[in-house]
Amino acid sequence: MTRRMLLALFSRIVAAASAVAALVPNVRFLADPLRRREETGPKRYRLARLAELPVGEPTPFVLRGRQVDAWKVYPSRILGQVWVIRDNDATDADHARLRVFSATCPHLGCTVNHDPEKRRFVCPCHAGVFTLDGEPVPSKELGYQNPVPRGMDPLKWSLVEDETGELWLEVEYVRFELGRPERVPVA
Amino acid sequence: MSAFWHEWRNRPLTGGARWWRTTGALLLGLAGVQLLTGLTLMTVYTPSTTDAWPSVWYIQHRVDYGAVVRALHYYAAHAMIIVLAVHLVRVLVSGRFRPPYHWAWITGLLLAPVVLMLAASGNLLPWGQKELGQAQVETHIVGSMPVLGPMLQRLIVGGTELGQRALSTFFMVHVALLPLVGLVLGMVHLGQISHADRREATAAGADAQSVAASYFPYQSAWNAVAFAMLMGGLLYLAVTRPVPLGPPAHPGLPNSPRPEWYFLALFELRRYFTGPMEFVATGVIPVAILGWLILLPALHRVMGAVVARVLAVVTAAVLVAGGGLLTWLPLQRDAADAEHQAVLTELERVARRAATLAEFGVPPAGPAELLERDPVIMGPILYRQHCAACHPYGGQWAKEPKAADLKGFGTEEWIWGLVQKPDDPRFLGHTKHREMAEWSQETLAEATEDEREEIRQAVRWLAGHPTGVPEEEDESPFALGYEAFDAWCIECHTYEGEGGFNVKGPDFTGYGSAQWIEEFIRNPAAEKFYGDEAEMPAFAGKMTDVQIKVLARWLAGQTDPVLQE
Repeated sequence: MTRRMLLALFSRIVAAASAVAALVPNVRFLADPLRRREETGPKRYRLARLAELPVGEPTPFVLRGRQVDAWKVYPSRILGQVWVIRDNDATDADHARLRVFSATCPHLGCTVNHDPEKRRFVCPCHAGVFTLDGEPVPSKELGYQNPVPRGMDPLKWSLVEDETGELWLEVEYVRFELGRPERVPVA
Repeated sequence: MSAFWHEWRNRPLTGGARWWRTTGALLLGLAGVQLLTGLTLMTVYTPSTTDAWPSVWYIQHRVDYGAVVRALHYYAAHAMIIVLAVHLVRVLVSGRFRPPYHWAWITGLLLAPVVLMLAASGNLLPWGQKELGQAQVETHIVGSMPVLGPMLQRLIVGGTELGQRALSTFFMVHVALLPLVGLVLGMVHLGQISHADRREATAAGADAQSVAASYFPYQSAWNAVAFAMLMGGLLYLAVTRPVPLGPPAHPGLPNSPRPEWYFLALFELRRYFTGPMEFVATGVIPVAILGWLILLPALHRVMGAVVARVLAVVTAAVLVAGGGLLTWLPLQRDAADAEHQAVLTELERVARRAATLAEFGVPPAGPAELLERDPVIMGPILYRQHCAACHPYGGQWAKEPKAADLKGFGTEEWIWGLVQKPDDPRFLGHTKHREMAEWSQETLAEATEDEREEIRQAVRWLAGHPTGVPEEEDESPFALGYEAFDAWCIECHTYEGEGGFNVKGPDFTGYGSAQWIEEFIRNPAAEKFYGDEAEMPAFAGKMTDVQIKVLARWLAGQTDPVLQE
């Protein structure tokens, strides 16, 4: 009987070890997305000449760039959209005031639209609403719970002179983690 | 296997054959339909972001009976969810969750999320604009669950953004993982029922071996008829109502994602739980419902048959009424939401056009490339993005027009309208260009009837996007048009290197053609156009070459896609 028990134990251990040996590479394979880091960090985009931007009216811009999707490389793909509001008609870098927001809704990542009648940014997915300052509109005002966890993500911008002396609006595009009250860049 | 089958079909049928007892068999039959049609579809479908949509298009429009098989798979999936709900309510109300059926009840409940996940994962496979938007929201919802959420989201998505790896993962989950899990759970479920039926019959003192009361063929006959009717219905739907194929995914298209109907109740719940409470709607509540249902057999033991039965009926009523109401509310809201409806209409437009374009073949770069190069699809989208800040289109899109309305630009009607009333806000009214208005007031207003007819002739000639100069004795309409232009317009407008002696207006060689518009969009301040007088900015560098070509073709009324050079 001891011989039988020993053999049984032996076969179980060997089988379990083989199973683990087979499992380990598979688990590592499946966990690959957790280890993968995509090229991140802000990317600069030249959007428009300052003089061309309408004053007080939110203007959308589509950002295009190189995108790597696993083994596929897209040379020019839409990576995101931003809203630009020019606050005054100053045409010099010192006095011009602008607001630049990522159009990605911080709730679940849909693209935020501008409602010109209500003068609000509105997300079509779960009806999140923002003021033109990018702040969430209080739920009381809406009559329902505003689902957004934080305001629209402001982006760093600068005015850069080109060879002809004209000022261009440049934006540093960053993606932030969704659904959180705080802003954490996607790593 | 044959022993299992024998056990299964010869189990006692306590209470006799009933119509409402066919729901389980219907689910089994539907699972069979899904397995069959799914395997068939897999012979063509290709899980690649560039090939998924085209392969589904090919199934739909080229493969013999492709549309029927795809529709069967689609309608059977929806039928499965509906029958599953009916099955659940039936078992709840009939009290068949109590011992000895409690283990079967639990495996059955676990099969419900498997069926829903099969539907949700299969939904993404065509890689369409709508489905990608839905998956984006759904995977972010997974990611916003506390603790394990972000990790789970990364594993499902295969990184941080939905792309090729997400599609491959969803494909594996849909065609292999979930069907395997479903198969195992389903077999266990059936075995448990068979076992429980015997115990029930023994407890009731019935003769378990009596042929008269065995499941087969008494209940089986009813099942077969019920399934035949369901199958007939599905086939009728599949043949008469083909499943639409939406537009392929393209980040430049608008989107207003809503979940499929079976998730609408959860979508609606999210309106009432916001901020940090969000996961209550899509995490806690579904799990709590499942947990409560799993606990019902235990309640039966603790509180007795009557209380458990009442609770079960109340639960069924609450689930049906609550689920129904929560599904109806967002449907009502969306029906009244003009913006949402406008997005749906636009996506339908793009879908129809994309399907037409696919007739001529999809480039290896995928359907997004097809859309990108098509004037019909991208023309209006690019116009709204880049032009509508100043140029209205048919009186729409521009909130504060600063330049001409370009609907019908370069047509005879449009040019003649401008010639007669250059100052109209439809034409140059918003701009600083006044020379044409002066000409119109001084020259056109003074012109005789014959002279007006000549000017009209020049306009007709211009609308033909003229190039080249006629021979001396030529008397064709083209030559006559050229002469009229030479007489009335050449003072300010150049043509084939001649003219523009007085004021320098835009060059009219090939005026209004896609080529002319393309050059104009690239640089309106070029010498041949407005020079220093240009108000419109140059778009070369701001838009890609293909975009400018596509936009120009659309404005010129052309529909041919811009092909790869």
